[in-house]
Amino acid sequence: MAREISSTTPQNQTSQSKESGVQGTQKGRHGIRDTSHAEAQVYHDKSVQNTEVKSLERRQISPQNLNMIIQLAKKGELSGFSSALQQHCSNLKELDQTISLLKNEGIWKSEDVQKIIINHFKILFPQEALPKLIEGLV
Amino acid sequence: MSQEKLDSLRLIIQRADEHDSLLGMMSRVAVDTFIQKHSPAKINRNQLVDQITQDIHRQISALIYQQEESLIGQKPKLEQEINFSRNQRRIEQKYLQEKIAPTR
Repeated sequence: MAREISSTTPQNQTSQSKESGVQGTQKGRHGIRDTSHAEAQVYHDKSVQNTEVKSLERRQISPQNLNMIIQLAKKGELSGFSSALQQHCSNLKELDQTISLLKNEGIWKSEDVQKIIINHFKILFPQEALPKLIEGLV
Repeated sequence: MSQEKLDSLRLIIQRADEHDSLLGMMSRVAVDTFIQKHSPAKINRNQLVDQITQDIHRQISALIYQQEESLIGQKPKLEQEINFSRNQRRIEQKYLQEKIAPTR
């Protein structure tokens, strides 16, 4: 059964609120007026932008492929697990997602599974690091 | 590719077998971050760092080699300098191999 992995919002996403010129306490004919009653909403433009950027950047491995990888690991079909990983897990973020799920399923404890994951990390990290290292030079 | 860019590429992989090299440090940070995040039970941290360093060194060396070939074609006088640089890289690759080889 395919497992629905919905795209999640970042855990640290802040809610939007608007700030409308908080005046501070005011003294007047009616005494000190507490402006905390005024509606306070704070726009976090930066955090909204960050959320949008993050959702674009956070490419997720498809639920079907992730489920297949996990099932293969669960069944102990290590060569299938390794092949599926190489085929469908193409960046470090996806690898992190895969590892998280392996942990949730209690499969991460397997040394064989860890070894395969680490070997994949060995391929993915240079793949991602190299373009950044040589950017503008080649 | 300009001489400057070629020199920059060479700098990136310079002395990659040494502890404080750019590549070595980058690989260590990546591996240590992975270990911290995922706590794998059995991992040979130093070996993994060396393997990643060697892989990146090899790939950048290959790029440099290609660029040097085209440079020799344009400026034959640079051949001696390029040969010296290639020798250096071969020695560094050898040191990196030797770091990994004993644990294979």
